[in-house]
Amino acid sequence: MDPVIALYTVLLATALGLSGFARSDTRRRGRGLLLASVLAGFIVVAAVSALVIATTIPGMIVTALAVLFSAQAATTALSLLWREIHTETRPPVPASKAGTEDAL
Amino acid sequence: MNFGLQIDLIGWFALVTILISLHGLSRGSSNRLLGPRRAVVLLAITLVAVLAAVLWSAGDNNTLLAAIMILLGVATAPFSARRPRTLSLRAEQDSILNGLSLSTIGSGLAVALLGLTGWFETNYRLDNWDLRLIAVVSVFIGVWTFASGLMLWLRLNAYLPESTPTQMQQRVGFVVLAMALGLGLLAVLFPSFARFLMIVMVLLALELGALSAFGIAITQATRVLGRHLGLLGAAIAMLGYVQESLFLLAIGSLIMAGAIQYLYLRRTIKTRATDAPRN
Repeated sequence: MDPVIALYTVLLATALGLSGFARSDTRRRGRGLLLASVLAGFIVVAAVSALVIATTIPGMIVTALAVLFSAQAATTALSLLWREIHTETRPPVPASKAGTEDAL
Repeated sequence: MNFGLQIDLIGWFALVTILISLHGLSRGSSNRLLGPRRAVVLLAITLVAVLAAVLWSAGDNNTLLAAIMILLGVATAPFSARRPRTLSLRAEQDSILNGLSLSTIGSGLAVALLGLTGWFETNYRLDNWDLRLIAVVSVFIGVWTFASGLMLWLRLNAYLPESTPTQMQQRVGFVVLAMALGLGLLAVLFPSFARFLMIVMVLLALELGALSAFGIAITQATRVLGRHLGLLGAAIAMLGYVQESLFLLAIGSLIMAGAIQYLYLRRTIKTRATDAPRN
């Protein structure tokens, strides 16, 4: 890949991301972190494409492990984001059910 | 075979849907057309579609192995995203932080393993210096992220004793970082001695991860996670460069933007708001 094209893509995408995230709701700081984590889960795409072009046995083993860990990370991040949205929209829990920590 | 272009074939459409999903998620429930739940579903569908496109275009090359590994990874995810025992908001937030650190561990390991593959699958003694540099940096970022995530998870679950951050810890951290970067640079410049240099660099990265997780108050755990997510974004962008995929380059850059926004810019806006003169 031409390094100049790569650099332009990185600059444009970073600028786009910065302007997009800057307009987000400032009350939800944690969601930005979860969104970055979900996007980091897309590394599974890089891992799978590395696995399908691997030619040696050690290369296949290492990339297969990379696919396993990245799929775990991607699914975990999506699941956490889903839970965070549910927590936000969930009605407040009564103190008797909320556990000792909140009851105290 | 150029897989970068095959990722990008569907990647352009995927990038558009990702941006739409991010718009829906960052605006919250005020967006009636695409609420947060629909946006998460759209993100998941996009990920599955891109993966399916890569597997479909690969033909018979390790496709079954890749599918099995993906399914195994998905099956282990519920263990790292466990729900808390109580229904309190505090327990839910702690549980999400726990899951986030486990997700960071997985991503860090994946980046380190992909960097290692990039080093050994190519002929590192003859290939271009930029590919060697990317492989070494990926291994370093991956191992550092893995160690930091692991230490944070251990601290969050009280498996490790409480530690008070000192200035000496930060200085030692900077020295270890400088040594690891120097060794990585030497490994790129002198590939004949790279094996020994990379082993020492990996050990230093493990040490650095432990130092960076111990050298903070536990209330700042999200800042460490934010920093490492930004580093993971940089690693994904570099992998995109190696695989000649503009999609991965754009995704990595978006992650870096999110991390920069979380770590630095949001605070600036907040400070400006509090510093503004009151009429």
